[in-house]
Amino acid sequence: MNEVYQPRRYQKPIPVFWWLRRRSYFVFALRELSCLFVAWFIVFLLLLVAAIGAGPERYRQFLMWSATPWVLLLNFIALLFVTLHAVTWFNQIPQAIVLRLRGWRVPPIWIVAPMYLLWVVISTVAAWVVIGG
Amino acid sequence: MMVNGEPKLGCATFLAEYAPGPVQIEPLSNFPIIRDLVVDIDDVMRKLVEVTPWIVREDDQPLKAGEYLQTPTELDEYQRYSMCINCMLCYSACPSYALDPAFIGPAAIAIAQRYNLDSRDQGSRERMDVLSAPAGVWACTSVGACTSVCPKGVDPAGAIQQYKLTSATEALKTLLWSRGTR
Repeated sequence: MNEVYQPRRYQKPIPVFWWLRRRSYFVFALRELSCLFVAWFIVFLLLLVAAIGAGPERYRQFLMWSATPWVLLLNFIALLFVTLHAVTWFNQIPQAIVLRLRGWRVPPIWIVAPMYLLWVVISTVAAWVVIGG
Repeated sequence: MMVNGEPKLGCATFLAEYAPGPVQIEPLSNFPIIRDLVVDIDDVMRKLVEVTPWIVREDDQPLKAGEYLQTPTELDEYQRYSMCINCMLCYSACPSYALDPAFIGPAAIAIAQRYNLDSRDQGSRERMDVLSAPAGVWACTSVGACTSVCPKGVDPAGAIQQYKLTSATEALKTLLWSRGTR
């Protein structure tokens, strides 16, 4: 009986550090990692709220703990990652939302710009409340 | 093929761009290699068919009514997704496809969107089950490498993100309307 020859296939293994091969892979890996720092900021915010609720002494202790070098460094790194998270998220929005006004396609920058503007406005108001208010 | 680690069309890549060299040529990555530079593309060929890549009509208009008319705006909705030449550079660049071979992939989703957005087509419901499955659009992690390597400017990443929005909206509608009819 004649059998059809099936050549073997070779599947090249994926290296562990595949995400270092291209810039887009690296940015993707950083973006995924940024979720951990978003979670850290939420935990930090909850600890802050709990400290405020526990009274002035507990709040003072929380502020002193927040000023320790490792917490400052962690929060600085977390700020960079959260910024990356927000920027990459905003830049994806025009990909998902295609707006047309009477047949004219709204340019992607018009969809993204209000997001950034709102971010700046809310951040400014929050900073004014915390620092100056 | 892969040229210096990048998915490229061999026919459109010139040695002069890589002078003085060296130039490393490899078979297209993320595909099983048969021999030398030949890879097995059966998986992608099967997935392209799974998304029903043709005009589906629930009701055909009679022949004497003439052709289905389309305005330039209606054509513009899907035209860029129709430029795909099935070169599979996007599959080669996609880490989601590399790590999860069940993912239907960028080209299949782009061609599905080409027909979903075509005003003559009435088959979007038929494609929804395949596209909204875990191995459909939701297996994409928005790396975007597919769009950057595409030689025809198809923007499969854009097609995928748009369909994620469509799929989520439809799921919400199904949830709300089904609760409303109880």
